[in-house]
Amino acid sequence: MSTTPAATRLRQRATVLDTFARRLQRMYALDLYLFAGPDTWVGPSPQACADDLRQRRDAILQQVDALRAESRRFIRTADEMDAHAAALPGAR
Amino acid sequence: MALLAYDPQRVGRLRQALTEAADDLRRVACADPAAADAMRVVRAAVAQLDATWLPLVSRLLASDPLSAGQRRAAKANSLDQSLIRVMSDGYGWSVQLDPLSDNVAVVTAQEARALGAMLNNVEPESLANDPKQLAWLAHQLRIIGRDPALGAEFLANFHNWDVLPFALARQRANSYGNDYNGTSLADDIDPVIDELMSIWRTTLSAATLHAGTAASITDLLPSMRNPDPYVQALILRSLRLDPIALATVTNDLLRGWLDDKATLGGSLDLAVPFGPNAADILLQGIVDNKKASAYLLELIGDRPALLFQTLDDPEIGYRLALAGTDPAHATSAAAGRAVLAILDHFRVDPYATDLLTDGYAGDYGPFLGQLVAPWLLQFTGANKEWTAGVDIKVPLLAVALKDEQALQALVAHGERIAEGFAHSLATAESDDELLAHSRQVGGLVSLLGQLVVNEHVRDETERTHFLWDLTWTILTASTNFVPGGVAANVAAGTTVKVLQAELADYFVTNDADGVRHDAEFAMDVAVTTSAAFTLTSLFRSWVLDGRINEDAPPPPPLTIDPKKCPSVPYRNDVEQWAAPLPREMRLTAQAVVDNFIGNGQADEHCAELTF
Repeated sequence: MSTTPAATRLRQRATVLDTFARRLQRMYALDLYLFAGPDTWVGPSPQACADDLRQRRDAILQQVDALRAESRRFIRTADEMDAHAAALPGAR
Repeated sequence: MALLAYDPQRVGRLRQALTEAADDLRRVACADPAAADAMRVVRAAVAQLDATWLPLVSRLLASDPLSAGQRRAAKANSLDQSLIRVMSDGYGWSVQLDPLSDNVAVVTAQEARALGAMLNNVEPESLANDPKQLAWLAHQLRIIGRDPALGAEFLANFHNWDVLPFALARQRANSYGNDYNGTSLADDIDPVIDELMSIWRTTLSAATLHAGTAASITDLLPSMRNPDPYVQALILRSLRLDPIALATVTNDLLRGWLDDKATLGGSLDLAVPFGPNAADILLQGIVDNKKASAYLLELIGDRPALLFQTLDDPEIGYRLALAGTDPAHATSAAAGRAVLAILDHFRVDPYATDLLTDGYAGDYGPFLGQLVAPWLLQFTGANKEWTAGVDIKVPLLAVALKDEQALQALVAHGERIAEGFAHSLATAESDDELLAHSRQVGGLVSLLGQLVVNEHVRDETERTHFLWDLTWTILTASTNFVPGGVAANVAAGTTVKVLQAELADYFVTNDADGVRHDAEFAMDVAVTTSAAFTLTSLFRSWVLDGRINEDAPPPPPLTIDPKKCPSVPYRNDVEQWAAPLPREMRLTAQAVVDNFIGNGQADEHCAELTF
């Protein structure tokens, strides 16, 4: 089955987003909180630092999930566009 | 300023990780518009690392840690720096000033552990006398108590049950002294004990906490060496037990307390002779619950000294006894055992004879008056609800009403008398029931007249006033059981009011020659009035039932001649009035009158009177 240019662009974008999500998932920043716990230091600032690093980790992982969801949506839309084009009269 | 403690090597590794992470974050990029949100999160993270955490860590590593002297100056030894102290003293960590202040709304597991450990080594007297530290500690303990996991961390490290509660309790007890020169008061100390026990509470099973009648001090409290009852009382109260469980352990504790008092005397209650003691603290938590009060009175049984020879504030004991013998919650038998035991205890003024007993000599008359008010009928020979005979009951009633304060209380609490009557006397459905009731009420009026008024009110005028008031209080209460339902009840109440108004002149106005105020005369009038009231009620029930014609002559009115004893002529009038009645009704009418004043009694009264 042939594919439309628009569907092709969407699939390319989905690939970009998946790649970016994988990159984010491998960032050092996600493990920072392990270095900032009460084995390293204690006090108001250390507590605030550890809390902040955990929150940023959670925020980044949320973005990973969001990027993957968006990627899946692009692919689904591209598939629908191709199916629609194939159903048109004269389509080969 | 707050402090922070750190392991320099690990902080060095943290700086390295922060640097690498920031560089890594800076390298990622994605131009797709769908990744815009993710890129914003990445840039914010980089900014935070660069602007806040890396500078903080770098400054920490570049600065010298505080010396021992600097740490002392920075109050590193205070309780709110427990974690810092544990890490620096115990693990050799460095300490520096922290630019952020502590968020006291958050307690970490490490802080909970450190606080528990610190409280093992804290100077307990200093802490107990420092309202600021106590307030901070109570706040932290409250947060820990809300989270069983934090509570477990705390308790795993706190082992100072022998010392800390004792120090807090002693400071509390001392704070009630007139010459107290400390700064913390019970209001500062109690929250700490409350919150400490709220943490301990999380370790107890529901079965232990709600053991009710099977509650046990040993099961409920942490292990302590030779705890003073005052300390135990404080921490038991803080456990927030249900009132029945509290009553159970209170009975156990006060029994031991009273036994010890005989040998240890003033060394009890942390040797502090003033302020609320162990009994005040525990009984205060029971007194507002009538069911628990009744239960505790049953446990106390024939040892009322547990109530009256323990309390610093005798009013608590009075309130508890009144609540526990309230007819709404106590059975007649149980209330009887308690009331008689209490009266026996007061046979000899305990406050005058036992110098180690708190309370005030002779100040309990109003309490005893209120105590017997709902149970007056049970003191009569005609009432068999209590197993004790009149030879025991009547002298004990005399103990209850031994002075004018007691009588005043009895009169003032007419509603308690009425409650007792309502509890004991169902509405009479037959002549026999009315007769049975009148035997009790008649016996009571006679008993009060003979026993109480004549023996205990020295002033002749006052005697007649008391008897007058008591008679009407009892007659008003008696309207509960007249036959004929609500309408008859209302009518009976009206009859009482009319009689009261008619006879008022004989009792409440001053009498110059003193004859009318003679107590014997007053008593004769009282019992005759009671008989007349009951006979009128009986007659009304006959009319309502159609057993007698509406036009039939009513019972003779009570006419009182201040120069004559009224009972004998009234009996004669009744005899004449009843003569034409059918035999059964005639005998019933005469029996009613006999129940209030028998023939011999009337003659006896009148013979004693000299006009």
